[in-house]
Amino acid sequence: MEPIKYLGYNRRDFLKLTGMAGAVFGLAGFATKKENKIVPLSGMSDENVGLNHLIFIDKDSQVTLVNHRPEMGQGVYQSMPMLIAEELEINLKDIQVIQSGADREKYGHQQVGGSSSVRKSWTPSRQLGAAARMMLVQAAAEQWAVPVGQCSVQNGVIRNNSSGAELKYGEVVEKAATYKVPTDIKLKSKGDFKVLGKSLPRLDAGLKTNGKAVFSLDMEVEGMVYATMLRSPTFVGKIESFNKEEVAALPGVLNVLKIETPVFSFKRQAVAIVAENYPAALKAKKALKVKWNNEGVKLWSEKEVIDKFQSSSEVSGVVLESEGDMANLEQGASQMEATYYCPYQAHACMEPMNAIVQVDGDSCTFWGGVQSPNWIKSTLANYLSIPEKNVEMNISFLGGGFGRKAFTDFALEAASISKEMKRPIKLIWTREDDISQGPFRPAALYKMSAYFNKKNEVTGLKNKLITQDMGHQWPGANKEEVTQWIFEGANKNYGFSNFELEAVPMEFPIPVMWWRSVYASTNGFAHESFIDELASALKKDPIAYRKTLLKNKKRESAVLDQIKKMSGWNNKKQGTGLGVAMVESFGSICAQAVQVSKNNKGSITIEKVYVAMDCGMTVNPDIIGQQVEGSIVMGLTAAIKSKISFEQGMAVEKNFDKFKMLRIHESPEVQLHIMDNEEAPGGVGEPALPPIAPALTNAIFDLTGKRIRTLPFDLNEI
Amino acid sequence: MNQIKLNINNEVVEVQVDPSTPLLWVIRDFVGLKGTKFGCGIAQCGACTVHLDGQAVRSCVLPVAAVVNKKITTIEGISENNAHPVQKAWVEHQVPQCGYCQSGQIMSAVALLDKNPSPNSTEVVAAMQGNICRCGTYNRIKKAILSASKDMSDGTN
Ligand code: FES
Ligand code: FES
Repeated sequence: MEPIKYLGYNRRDFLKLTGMAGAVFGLAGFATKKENKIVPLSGMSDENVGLNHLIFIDKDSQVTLVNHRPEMGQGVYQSMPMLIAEELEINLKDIQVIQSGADREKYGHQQVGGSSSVRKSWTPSRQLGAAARMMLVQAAAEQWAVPVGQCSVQNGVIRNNSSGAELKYGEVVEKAATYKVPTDIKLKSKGDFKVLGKSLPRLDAGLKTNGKAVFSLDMEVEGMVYATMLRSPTFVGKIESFNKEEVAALPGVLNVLKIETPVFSFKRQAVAIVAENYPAALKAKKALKVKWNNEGVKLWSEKEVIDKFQSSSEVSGVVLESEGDMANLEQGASQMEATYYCPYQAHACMEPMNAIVQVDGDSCTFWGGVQSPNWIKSTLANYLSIPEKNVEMNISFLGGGFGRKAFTDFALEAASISKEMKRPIKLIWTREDDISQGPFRPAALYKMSAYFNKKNEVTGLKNKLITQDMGHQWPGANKEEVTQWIFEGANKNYGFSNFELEAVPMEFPIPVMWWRSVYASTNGFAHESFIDELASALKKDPIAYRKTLLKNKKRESAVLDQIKKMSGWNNKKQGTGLGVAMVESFGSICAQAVQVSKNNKGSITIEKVYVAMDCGMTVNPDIIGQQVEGSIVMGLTAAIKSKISFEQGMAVEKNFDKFKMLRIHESPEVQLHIMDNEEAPGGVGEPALPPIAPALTNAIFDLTGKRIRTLPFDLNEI
Repeated sequence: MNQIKLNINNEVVEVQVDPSTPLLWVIRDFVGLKGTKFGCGIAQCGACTVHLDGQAVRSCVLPVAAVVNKKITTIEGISENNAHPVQKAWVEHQVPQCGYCQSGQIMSAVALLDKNPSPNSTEVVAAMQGNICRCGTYNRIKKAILSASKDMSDGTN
């Protein structure tokens, strides 16, 4: 292709390849001071003095905080600085945020997932803020020759309380940096918080309303070329032949090559087309013809998949939890059984998978948006057989993550192409790749059983789960064992004296991966549906029944009381149904009540979703609101819209025409109450997802008497 | 390969490109305006929404040859410094989560308000149905559009 001529436009500056001098770490740079400003890669000058690896201050008192966790929408770009700001005594409005690269030693845990960021950083980040403040105050006190106790701090200004003199942080930072980092640190208690617990506007909001936020897809490096791939539609099929010459001769195409990269323990074969620009690569892909060899590959149909799940429920699995004497109970007692099924799901992050990778001899540089900077870093090092320190990670904003962008496959693909081409490769998955290639949220089938005594009291409950164990996919995995957290969200607090959780792991070739709230996304549905079925069999009120089971569990009972109050549980509107569900996952308790009605065409309308959430002490209630609304939309999508099904061993759904998303007209009103307490912070990004499906189906049962046990279902066909 | 002149955000840009190339990629990779996003490539998600003579269109399915002599507006052309009432409302209601869909959402919203400055809630929802948000920011989008419309008619912006 000819060089491009521009009139009136300067091509956006290439992101610099090199790291910045001094303090920060070859970063990809999307810091913000004023909302609409991207601080360039070289944005932080040498004048910055680091008090630790997250806090930098320059002579003009400009504070720069490093966010060491990737921002995928969950708000860490806001919550991480808030944790530091609380103890550092600075105004969040005045700071810059810079995204870090990957460095296990420097930053410790960086992965975002499992709703863990705030939980893991709650104490260490506040300690870093406090330690830096103490060093700054000490420097000022020394300059004034007064005891530290005579100084106070506000908004980055230290005050000498006896003389009234003031020093800004920038004026003492150099001296402060020479001190040893204090270890005896007293953190504020909740009553003294000025920043935490406040709904301060997100620092990235402005960047995300004017198109200036830099996502993975927006990154460019000098000399890069583009790649698209055609992967085995059955995941494990082998390439027999492809029309290499024909495709290679097409305009803009630089190379057409066979690629084989690991996906967990299998190798996925693909043909990669490398081209000067992405549309040329896509156009060439249309002409690409690959002959696949699926010998020995079972080509599953959807019916066979479901039959396999069904028949596996007859096999005995691994008992992970057992209370009382289940075996004895099963003898002679009367029983109630129900089977629930949730299908495979794709993550469908709004930004399809993509990355830039440059392999250069024994070093490798990565640019992109990932949830697990260190995992991808070490996987790249391993794959390329180079030392981990030779891999540089540059992290951008993520256009959604949901678990998918923790996985490593796309990085390895780009690396493998770059190694061949000896150039930086920008690999972009198409939406079709993204939806049909996995890894997926695994399907799950549940056989729930309850046992009754002669007085018609429930004496025991058993949950048999049939699903793929994500842990079984890694090379060398012990398949006799089952991942402990496979029952996340299956409430153990209901206090049945006989209780059993049994998992039957299915060994399927379909790759699976964490998907927002992971197993809780299906566990919650089965458990909370079945508890509702029990309440109805016993002719008890669903909330009252749950409360009886929970006995003296205080937090859970308070959440249920709250949902009862806010949903108008006892004064249900004429012609509406109300259903409730409560799931505990990722350290938080979330109850939801869904209000539904039926219109004159017989379709169900979701009128409103009420949410009571106990996630302990909060960082930013408005971000919790965003996460709850988002979890409900994603959970509802899986309940009433999307699924991945298989024919001929291939995913049937490939784009949004068939893999349906909830849209704006289907998004229900949400009213949220956050419980106020001083409990340790719980997760926020996921716990509101599992309750929505069962709260909805329980509400539909309340209104129509019809039980829904298979997802997804159509609100128009109840 | 053709020399094609485009009018983007009131400036003339000349690109050397295969005329069948979707406008989306020309805007992003040939002109270098990265605010417009790729989401599906089949006119299903709205991430690539731009204005063509003021109409919201999906740039992923529009060959660049079809837009010569038309006025193209992208998110970068909506305002300097987030000054447009829709952008202000977006920040005020804290709409974005991951933010990836938001350029497209805002372009659809601006096109709606240009045509219908005081839409009711049903009209808002109807106009925004083509834009997917996987993060689930829909309720805030609705509120932001209604409040932007109010601000615009109150003349507070
Ligand atoms: S990318 Fe154009 S509508 Fe989805
Ligand atoms: S904000 Fe993430 S897709 Fe809309």
